[in-house]
Amino acid sequence: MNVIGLTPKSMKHAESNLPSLNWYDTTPNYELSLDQFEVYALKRLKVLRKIEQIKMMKVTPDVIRQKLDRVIKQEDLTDHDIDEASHFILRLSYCQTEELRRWFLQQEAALFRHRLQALSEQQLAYAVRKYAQLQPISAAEKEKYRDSLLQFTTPVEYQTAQFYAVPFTQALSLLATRQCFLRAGSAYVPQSKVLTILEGKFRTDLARFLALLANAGSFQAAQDAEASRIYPLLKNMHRALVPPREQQMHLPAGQVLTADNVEQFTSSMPLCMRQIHAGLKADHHLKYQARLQYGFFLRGAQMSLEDALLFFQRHFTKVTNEKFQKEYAYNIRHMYGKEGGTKDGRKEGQLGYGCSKIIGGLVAPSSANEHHGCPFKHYDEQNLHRLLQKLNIGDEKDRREILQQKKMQQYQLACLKHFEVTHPNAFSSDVPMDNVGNHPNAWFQASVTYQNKFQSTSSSNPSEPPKAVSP
Amino acid sequence: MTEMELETSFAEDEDAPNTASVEAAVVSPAPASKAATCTPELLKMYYSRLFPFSLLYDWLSYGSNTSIFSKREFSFTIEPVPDEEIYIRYQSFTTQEELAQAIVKRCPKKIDIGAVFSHSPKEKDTLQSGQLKPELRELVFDVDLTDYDGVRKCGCTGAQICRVCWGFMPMAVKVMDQALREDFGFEHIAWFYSGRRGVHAWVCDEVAKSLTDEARHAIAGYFEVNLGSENNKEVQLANPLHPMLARAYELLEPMFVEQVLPATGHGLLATPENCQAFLDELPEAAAPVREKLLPHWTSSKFNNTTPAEKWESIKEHLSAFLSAKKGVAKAAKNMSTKERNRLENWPVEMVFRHGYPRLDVNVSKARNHLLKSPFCVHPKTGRVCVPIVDVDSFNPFTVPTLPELEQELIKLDASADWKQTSLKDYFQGFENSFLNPLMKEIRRKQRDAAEQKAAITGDF
Repeated sequence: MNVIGLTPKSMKHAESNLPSLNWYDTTPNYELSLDQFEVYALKRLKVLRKIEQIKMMKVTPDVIRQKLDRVIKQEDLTDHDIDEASHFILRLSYCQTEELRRWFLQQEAALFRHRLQALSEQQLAYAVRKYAQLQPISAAEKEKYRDSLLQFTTPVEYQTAQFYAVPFTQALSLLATRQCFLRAGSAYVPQSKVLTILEGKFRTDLARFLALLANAGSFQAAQDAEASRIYPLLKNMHRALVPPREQQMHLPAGQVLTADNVEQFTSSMPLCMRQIHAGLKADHHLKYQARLQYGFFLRGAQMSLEDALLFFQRHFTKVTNEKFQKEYAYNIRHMYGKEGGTKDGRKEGQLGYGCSKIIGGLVAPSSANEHHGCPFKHYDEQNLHRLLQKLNIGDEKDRREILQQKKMQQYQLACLKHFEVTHPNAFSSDVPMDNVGNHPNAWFQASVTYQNKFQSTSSSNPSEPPKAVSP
Repeated sequence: MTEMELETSFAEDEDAPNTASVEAAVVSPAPASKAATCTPELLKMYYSRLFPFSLLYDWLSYGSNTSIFSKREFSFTIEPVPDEEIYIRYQSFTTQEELAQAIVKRCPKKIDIGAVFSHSPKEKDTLQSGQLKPELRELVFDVDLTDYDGVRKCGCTGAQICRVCWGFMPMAVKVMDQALREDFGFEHIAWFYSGRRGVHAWVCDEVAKSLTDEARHAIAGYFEVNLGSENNKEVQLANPLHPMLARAYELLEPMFVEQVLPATGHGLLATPENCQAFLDELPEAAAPVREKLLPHWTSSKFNNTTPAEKWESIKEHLSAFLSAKKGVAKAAKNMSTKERNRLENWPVEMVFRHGYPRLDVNVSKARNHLLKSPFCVHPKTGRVCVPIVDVDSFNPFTVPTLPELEQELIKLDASADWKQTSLKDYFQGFENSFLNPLMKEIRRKQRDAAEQKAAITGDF
C-alpha cells in the first residue's frame, strides 16, 4: 500500500556508507501489513517521546547518547526499513496540525542530530557532500583566511581541519553566537560545527515536506476507500502511549485551585503564567491571546468553570457586569467546552497550551499590554535579565546561565533552569519532573508538589527553598 | 570636561513607536512648550517645497514600476489638535504623487517606514487577519547616544549631545559599515542622521531585504557584545577574539586613544583622579599592575606622560604580567583560565566599552518594525534627517533646521527646490554614493534577466 500518495523514486535501499542516516527524501514503496503499520509507528513514537523526555533531564551528553542508543536499538530503528516506514507513517499522522508538525520536527531533528554525532569524520564528510552538496574549501582558500580560521580550532587541529563555506543564511545559529568566520556573505564553518549545518538543512527540508503534506490535504485524502482502515490509526497516533496526561497536570490530592486562592499559587507558576497574572493585576484586563493562554492553564490545573468566571470577572474591574457577560463569559465558557460547535471543549487547550505552542505557535506579543507568550523567548535579553533580578530568581550566575540558554534559543531549557534554581534538590527528590519545561501545567504541578514536600522545613516561597535536604 | 560647552540640549521625548497595532489612538500628549523649530507652517513649507519625494520614491521602488512601492507601509504621526498626537499606521501609496499629496495634506510631524507587505497595507481591513504579511524589508540598524550614558563623560545625558560625545557615532558607524560590507558582502548601505542624537542604517541589498526574522535575530546576535553595566562590569569576551571583533578593535583603538582618553575627549586618562578610576577598572587578579602604575599616575610624575603613553604603558605592563613565568615574583600564577582570559582581553574590553556600537537591536530583529523615514524632520530639533555620506566630516550641529531653510527660501524664487538650498550637498551626496549605484545594479540585473529570457526564446 502506498500510503503517502506520492510517487516513489526508488525501490532499492542504496547500500550507502551511512547505514544509520536517512534523509527520508524517497518515499518507501513496499507492502506492510496493518499490524506492522501500527507496530512500526508506535516503535518510532516511543523513541521520539524518549528524546523529548531526555532533553529535559539533567544528565551529561554521554549519558543522553547511551540512553538514546539503547532505546533506538530496543525499538528496532536500527533496521533501515522499520526506520524508514515508521518515519513516513508518523510524518503523515503528524502533518495534521501546526502544533503536531512542530513537535514532530523538533524530535526528528534531534534524532537526526544524534545519528550525525555517531558518525566518524569521514562519514560526516561524506554526509555533508551527499546531502548538502558541500565540499571543504580549497587549501588555497584555507591559507588565505588562515589567521581568521585559526580562531576556531587549535593550531594543532588546524593542520588537518576541514572548513566548509555556506551562505550565512544557512548557518544562523552559528552566526548568532559568532561560532563561524564570516566573509563576503559566506559562513566558514569548521568541521566540528558542520553538523549544525546538516541538521539545519534536514530541518528545513522536513518542515517543507510537512507543510506540503498538510497543504495537499494528504491527511484528509487518507480517509477514502481502502485507506479508511488506517485513517483512525493515523488520526489518533499522537495520542498513543501517553500516560494519562491529566494526572500529570493536576494539583496534588486535596488541593483545589479556586478564584480565591490563585494568588497564593502564583509563586509556583512558571514565568509565562506569572507574567500574565502580573499583567492581569496591573491592567485589570487581559487581551485575547493571554486570556486563552492563562484560561487554559487554569483549566488544566483543574479550576472549575464557575471559579474561572469568578476569577476573571473579579480582576476585570474596569468592565461592567453586563459587558463581561457579553464579551468575555462566552469566551471562558468556550474554553471549558460549554459553548461552540463541538461541546467537547477546545481539544487543543483542554490540558493547557504546551510550551511548543506558547513559544512558536502564537503571534508574538507586540505591545506592552500583551502579556501572552514565553518570556524566555519573547522578552529581549535585557528585559528578561531585569525580570529575573526583580523576581529574585537565583544568583547572578544562575541568571547568566538562563540568559545563555535564551541566547542559544533553548527557551525550554532556560525555563527548566528557572525551575532548578528555585527548587533545589527537586531532581533528587521524588517530585514528578516529567514535562517540566515542556508544559506549564507540569511545571506548576511539580512546583506545588515540591512546596508541599518541603513545607515543613521552609516558607512557602519557592524563591527561598531549603538549602540542604539530604536525600 | 566641565568647561565643555553643550552646544545644544534637547528635551526628552518618547522613542519611535513600536509595532503595536494601534491604528489611530492617542499616543501621548506632546510637551506643552513647543519650540518654534518645527511648527505646522514650517513643516508645510518643507513638505511642499523641499522634501525629496523623487529620491525616496526612486529608492523605495527598486526599479519596479509600482509593485513594490505600493505595498510599502508608511505611518504618520499627526497632531490635528495641539498636544494631541495621533498615530496612523498601514498607509500605502501607489505613486510618488499620491505619497506627496498625502504628506503635504496631512503634514505629519513624523513619518515612519515599515515593511513591503504581501498586499497593500491600506487594504488591511478588507483582508482576513494574518493575510497581510511582511515580505521584504531593508535590514536596519539604530544607534542612539542615549545608550552611551554610562560612558559619556562630557556631561551630556539623555537626548543631549555635544561634539565630544558625538564622536561615538563615527566609531559605531565605521565598525558596522565595515562588517556589513566585508563580512556580509552587502554593498548598498545608506546611513542617516536621525535628526537629534543618533544614526540609522538601511541595508538595501536583495539578500538583506529578503532576510527572515530569524536571520535578523542571528545578525543582531552576531553584532551584540555584552559590555557589562554599571552594576555588573564583569564582561566575558571570547578568547581568542572573533575575527570581526579583532578587526573592530584594530579600528577603534586609535580613535579611542585620540578621542576618548585625552582631556579634549572624555578625559579617561587626563587627570590623576580619572587615572585612578581607570586603574580601578582592572580586575582583582591584576592588582600588581595597578599597584605599580598608581604611584606614577597620581603623583608629581603625572605630567611626564601623555594619556596615549599611559595607555601604552598599561597594556605593556599587563602583557608583561601575563607572560611572566611562574615562580617570578608577582607573576600571574594561580589564575583561573577565566581570569586570564579576561585580563588578556581587558584592553579590548575598555576600548569596546567606549566605542563599540551599542545597537538598539529590537529595531533590527523584526521585519515589521517601523523606523523613522529618512529626509523627514525631527520634531524636537527641527533638523532634517539627512543622509550621512562621509561620517568623519559629518557635523550634526550644522545640519539645516527648518527655520534656517525658511530663511534660505525667502531669498529664492517660488520655484526653487532643495537643489538651491543647503540640503543640496546632503541629498546629492546620497544620490551619488548610494542611489545611483543601487539603480545601476538593478538595471544591470534587469538587463541580464531580459537577455537570459531572450536566449531561451531565441529572440535575440
